[in-house]
Amino acid sequence: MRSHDPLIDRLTESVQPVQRVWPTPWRVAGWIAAALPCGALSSWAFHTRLTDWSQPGAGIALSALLLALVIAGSSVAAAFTLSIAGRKPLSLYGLLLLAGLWLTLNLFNLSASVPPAGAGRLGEGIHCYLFMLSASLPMMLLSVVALQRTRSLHPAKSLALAGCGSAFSSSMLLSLCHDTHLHLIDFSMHLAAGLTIVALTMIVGRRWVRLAQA
Amino acid sequence: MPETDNRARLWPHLMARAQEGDKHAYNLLLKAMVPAIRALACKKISDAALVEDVIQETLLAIHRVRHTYDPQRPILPWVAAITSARAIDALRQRGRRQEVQDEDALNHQPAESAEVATEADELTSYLGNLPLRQREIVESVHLREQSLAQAAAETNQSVSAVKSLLHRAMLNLRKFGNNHEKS
Repeated sequence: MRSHDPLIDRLTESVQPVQRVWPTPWRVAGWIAAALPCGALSSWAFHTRLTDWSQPGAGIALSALLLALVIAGSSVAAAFTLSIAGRKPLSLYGLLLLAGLWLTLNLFNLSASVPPAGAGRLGEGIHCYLFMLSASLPMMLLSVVALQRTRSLHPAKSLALAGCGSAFSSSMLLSLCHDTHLHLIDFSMHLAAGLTIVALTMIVGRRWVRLAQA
Repeated sequence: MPETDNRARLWPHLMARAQEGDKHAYNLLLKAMVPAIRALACKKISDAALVEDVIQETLLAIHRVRHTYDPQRPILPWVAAITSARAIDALRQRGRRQEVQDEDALNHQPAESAEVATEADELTSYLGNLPLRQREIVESVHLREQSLAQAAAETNQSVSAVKSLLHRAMLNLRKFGNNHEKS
């Protein structure tokens, strides 16, 4: 058995007062309060119109929007909780269930819609893809900065969850300036943007969030 | 671990004081934690030397994330999660290192015995070219297989200073090696 006293003495010498991490609900509230306005500003160039909530399918679109906000908050809460050693997020199955419900609502809106002439072209989908990416950039940054404060023993999972939070938040912002009904290519591009955001968050954040070995 | 549980009852209080900068409380806490960390690491690792490395890594990790502990919560799950993650990392690293060593051994086996003496001479001459501090770090980390934390503690430096010295030493060794091949 080796003596660890010299190392402990060295660590003790360098100890300084530290600011405890805020409770998770406060951190999530802070993240949402900062991420949504930043996302709206960074995607400003892609705003073309405001959603006309008198269109058919508005009820479903509004439900999907609120659900996206709930999923975003829950994902970020799960990411923050998981990043602290010894804590487990509430239920990832619940989160998956909500995501399934969100997908069902959107698919329902998709199949119920009657595409107007010229709709469903790739161009509209690419616009949505770029909107979601530009809206999510500051959100990704905020997530990585927030996770960097606590570091994580499970960086991949924490970052994937934080990425989901950014993806659903930007999808929610997109719903505010999008037709209430969806078209197949358009919705596929929304999903592709979501996957890109999760992958980017994981790739970019890994180095900063990992609790590296000495 | 009922004994540990009993002793650990004071730990949240000590950690709360340590978070406020109380060095004495922090020292007591870390020293009290070592047997518990050892017991937790031994559940995953049988190699005694690796267990000791895991203890050091865990102490360093606890130091870096001490602000994430909430004194209202039990402390053992927090310590156990950090120890477990560090033990798994250590096992993974050792697995990787052994794979590399095994591959090298297979590739060089026939020539090995004849070349041992020459290699030892070459190694000594390369190390002799390094500045003293760089040579000491290479010897402790690569020849005596100490962890960075141990090397840092032994030479009274920070881990990042050790890393930087090691990096510079490796660059120098590579340079010497290239020059040697050319000549």
